Amino acid sequence: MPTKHGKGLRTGLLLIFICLSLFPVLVLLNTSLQTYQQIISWPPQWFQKLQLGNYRQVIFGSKSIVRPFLNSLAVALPTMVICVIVGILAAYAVTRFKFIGRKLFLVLVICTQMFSSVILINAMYLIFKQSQLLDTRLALIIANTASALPMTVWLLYSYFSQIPVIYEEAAWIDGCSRWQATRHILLPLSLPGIITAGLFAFITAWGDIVYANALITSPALRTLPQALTDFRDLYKTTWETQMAASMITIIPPLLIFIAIQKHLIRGLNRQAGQM
Amino acid sequence: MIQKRPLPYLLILPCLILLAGLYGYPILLTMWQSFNHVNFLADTTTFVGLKNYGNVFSDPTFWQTMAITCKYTVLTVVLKMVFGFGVGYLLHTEIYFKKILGVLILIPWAIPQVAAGTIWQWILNSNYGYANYFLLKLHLISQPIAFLARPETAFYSVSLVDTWMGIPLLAMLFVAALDAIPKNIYEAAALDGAGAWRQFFAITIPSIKRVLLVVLTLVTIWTFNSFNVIYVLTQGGPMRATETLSIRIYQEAFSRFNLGISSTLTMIAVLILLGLTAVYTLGGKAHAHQAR
Repeated sequence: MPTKHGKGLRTGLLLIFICLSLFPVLVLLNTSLQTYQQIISWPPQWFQKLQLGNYRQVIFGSKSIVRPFLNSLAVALPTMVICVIVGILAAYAVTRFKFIGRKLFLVLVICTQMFSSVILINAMYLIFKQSQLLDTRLALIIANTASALPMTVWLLYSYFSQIPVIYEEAAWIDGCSRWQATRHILLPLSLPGIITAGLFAFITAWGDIVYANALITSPALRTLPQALTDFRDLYKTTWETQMAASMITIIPPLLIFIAIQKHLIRGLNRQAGQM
Repeated sequence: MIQKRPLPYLLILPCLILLAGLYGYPILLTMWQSFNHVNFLADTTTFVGLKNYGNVFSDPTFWQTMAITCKYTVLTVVLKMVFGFGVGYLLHTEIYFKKILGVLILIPWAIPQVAAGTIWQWILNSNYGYANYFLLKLHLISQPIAFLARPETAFYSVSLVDTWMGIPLLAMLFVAALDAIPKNIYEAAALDGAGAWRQFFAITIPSIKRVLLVVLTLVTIWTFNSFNVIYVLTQGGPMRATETLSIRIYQEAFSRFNLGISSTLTMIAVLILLGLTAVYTLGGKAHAHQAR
């Protein structure tokens, strides 16, 4: 086991790595606060004459991302709700019952996690085309549910199985019904896990570009990731506004990630250790 | 006790229906499409049997795509594993500001991939990009490089960005595995006179061997599936230098409107993924038996 010896050296090494890995984030912040004239100057300027004009422009201006922001919310929130409800039911079944096919079901959940949205995109496109759902939010919600559901189920399963069933059994003995025991004991105890799983589903839908690009054509329905690529113009890419828009896109998932990282990593670890 | 009551089945039913509808049916449909010639624009479908597969396998660009996918996956997985383990190991040891550093490490992972792609596109920009500025200043290059416009540099740039995004999660998985090794084993080894290196190879590595293997498989699957970064940075170009299987599946369908070929490529990807998943589940099990 590494001893106290070299503690400063190891901290230094890690700090160097962190500086390198956070460099892009600094560039992002820096560029988002400058004018076009400043960003094309050479050498690059670092945090001089900062201004919020780019943010004003991406919020109120011609390339406003407010609409895409709301569109992304309108897709990500329902996806989250569907995944959490369906996930809680399934996770309850596999952690509170022993039944034939339980193991098979868990393997199925693992397998589906391995398929990316690109694998499904052809078929999804055809299915939505046939059912006249192309270019609708509903199609995006359904498609994103496919991406997020397996991991949501897995996270809930790993959280539920950490909560001893004894508490609920005690409640049954005291005369509680299965539903009452679940509502008053299991659900409150597993709230952090439920929040983690829900936010994970949210982030998955929030970051999707594969389905959005393939299924959405009308400008009014474009999502935030799509809007981010709109700043690329034939003649001039307005990097400074694009960076401001990127900054706004990043903030919600960044806060969410930092809040839930512990549970998320625990769930993933279980996957690495369990199977 | 095996439950005979229908309740557990009722509870997993919604999930099963969704998984069947969102994975089972689409994959079967894709399989069917792979036996057809599909024209997106004219909206016609003709059954052609195995012709798509024949076309794909006799197409030299397919083998080129497979070679790129292979090279990309191997390179990126190695980079992710090496850096992920290094960072994870440092985070596991005694260091100053452990908590804060642990959170800072996570940031690249928390950034949506599309946004990460746009940031890197700007950093790697050939005219005003920061990468060129620093490389010039350090005298590593003599003139600006159009990183994403040249096949060679584009390939390595994309792999590097993918690595950058992948390190945090791996580091955290390794930290958890390393933290789980009981400290008294090290203490006993130290009493017996084992040095730091000896302890590392005789205790640390064997203890996390299983986690290393499982993470390796998972990372291989994730990297094989990489799409967003490549799509935002290069869209598979320049001159198909970064066109991995995932990118090609998408491009065949939505740029070249060749759904039959795209479906055929999808089925090939599905087979590869099933193979990797089998390694993952069975490999994990075999080791679990060994541990017992």
